[in-house]
Amino acid sequence: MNDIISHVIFFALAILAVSSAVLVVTGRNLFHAAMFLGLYLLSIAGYYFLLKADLVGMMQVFVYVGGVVVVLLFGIMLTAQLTNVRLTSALEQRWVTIVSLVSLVGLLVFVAKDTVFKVSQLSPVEDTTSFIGKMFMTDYILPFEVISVLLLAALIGAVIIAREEGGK
Amino acid sequence: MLTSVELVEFAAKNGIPIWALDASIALVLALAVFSLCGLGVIVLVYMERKVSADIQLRLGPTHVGPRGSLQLIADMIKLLSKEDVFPKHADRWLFRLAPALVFIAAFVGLMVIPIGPRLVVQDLSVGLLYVLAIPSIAVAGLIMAGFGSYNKYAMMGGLRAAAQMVSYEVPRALSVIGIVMLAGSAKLSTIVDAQGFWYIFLQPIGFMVFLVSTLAEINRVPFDMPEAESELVHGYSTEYSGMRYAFFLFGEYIALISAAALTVVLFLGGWHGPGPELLGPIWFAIKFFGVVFVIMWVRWTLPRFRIDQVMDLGWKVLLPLALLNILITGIVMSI
Repeated sequence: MNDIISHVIFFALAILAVSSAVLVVTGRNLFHAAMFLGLYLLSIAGYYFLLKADLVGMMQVFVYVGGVVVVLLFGIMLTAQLTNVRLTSALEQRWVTIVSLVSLVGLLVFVAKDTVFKVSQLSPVEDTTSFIGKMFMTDYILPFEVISVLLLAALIGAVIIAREEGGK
Repeated sequence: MLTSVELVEFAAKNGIPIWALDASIALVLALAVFSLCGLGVIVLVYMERKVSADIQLRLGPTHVGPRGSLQLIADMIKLLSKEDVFPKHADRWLFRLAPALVFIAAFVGLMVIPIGPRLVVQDLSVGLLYVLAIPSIAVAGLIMAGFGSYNKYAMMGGLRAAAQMVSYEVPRALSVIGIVMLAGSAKLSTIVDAQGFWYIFLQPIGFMVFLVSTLAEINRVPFDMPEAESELVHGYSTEYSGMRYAFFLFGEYIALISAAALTVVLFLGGWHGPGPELLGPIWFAIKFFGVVFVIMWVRWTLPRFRIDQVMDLGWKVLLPLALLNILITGIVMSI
C-alpha cells in the first residue's frame, strides 16, 4: 500500500527534476535558469526525504538552495549587463555534439542494462543525525578532518582575495 | 498527534485506504495551522499598532470597531479590492510567484513547532535544522521580487535582503548548536522535554546571539535594511500593491510568529509551566506573546542601522560570540 504512494511521489519528483533540469540548460534568461536550478535542487532534496535520509535532505536545502543558488542569483544581479538580456544558445559544433551525445547515451544504456542494482534488506536508520555524527567521529574521521582543513583553507583564501580588492 | 502504527490500525479497521487517510489528515492539519496563523496575524497586527502607539504617545486605531480592533479587516478589504498592477517591464512570472514563495516558505516553517505535549504537525528528528533551513527559500522569493519588478529600489532591496539573510543565517545556526549539545537531539519536542531548567539561563550568550540574528532574519527594525523607506522607498515590495502586497505582509507576520515560537521552544521551556499538562498551550501562548512584545518593543524604540553596520555586526561580533558559546558549552559539558 505504501509502495503505491512512494511510487507516485517518486515519479512526480522525477518529472519535476528532469523538466526543471532541461529548462536550466535551454532557458534563454539567465535569472530564470538559476531559479530552475533551485527547483531542481529542491526536487533532489525531495528524493532524500523519500529515502528517509532527512539530515542529508535538510543539508541539501540549506547548502544548495540557501547558499549556492542565492550566490548565483547575486552574481547575476550584480553583473548589470547580463540582466534581462536574452542569451542565444545556438548549436555551433553540430557533428561533435551528435557523436559525443550518441556515445554517451549508448554507454549509459549499456551500463544500466548490465548492472545488477543491489538493494539492502536492512530497514533505514531511525535517528540519522546521531548515526552520521558517530560515523564521522569514529570510522570516517580522516576524510572528515581532510574536508575540514580544505574548507578552512578555502575560507582563508576567500578572506585574502577580498582583502586585496578592498586595499587597492 | 497519533502515531503511525495507530493510524495504520485505524485505517485497517475501518477499511479506509491509507493514502486517503494520510491525505485528509494532512489537509485538515494544514487548514488548522493556516487558520491559526490567520488569527495570529490579526492579533499581532492589532498588537503592533497599539504597542507602537503607546510607545510613541499616540492612541493608534480607534474608529473602526471597538477600540479600533476591526481596522485590519478594513485594511484587508481595501487591499483585496485594489487593482492588480504590473510594472511595464516587469518579469511577469517572477513578479507573480515571489509573494507566494515568501508566504509558503514562512508558512511551512511552522509545521514542526510543538505548542504542547504531542501537539505538533510533524515532529521531525531534524526539526531544528528544518526551521533554520526553510527561511533560505524565502530569500529566493525576495530576490525574485526585487529582480522581477524591474525597479532600481526593488533591486537594491532584494540584494540587501539576500545579503543580510545569508550572513545572519550563519550565527543563527551556530547559536543553537549549544542547545543541541545540551539536549542531545535536534528534535524540537526532545529539546523542550530536556529543559527542566530553561536554556535562556544555561545559554545566555546563545540566547543573545539567537535573538539578534532572528531580528535580522525576519527583517524587523533595527535590521529592516531590505525595505528602509527613507532610502529605498519600500525595498523589494516597492512595485507591489493590492493582494500581492498583502501576501508579503502576511508572510512577514508569519515569519514573526514562527521566530517567536521558535525562541519559546528553544530557550523558554516551550509548554512547560506550573499546573497540569493540559495547560501547556496556554503557557506557550503567554511566553509567545511575551517574546512578540519584546520584538515589537525593540522595533519601536531603536533607530535603523546602516547596511555596513549590519554586516559588521553579523560577521565580526555575532559569529565569534556564537563560536565562543559552542567552545564554552563544550568545555563545561566535558568537565
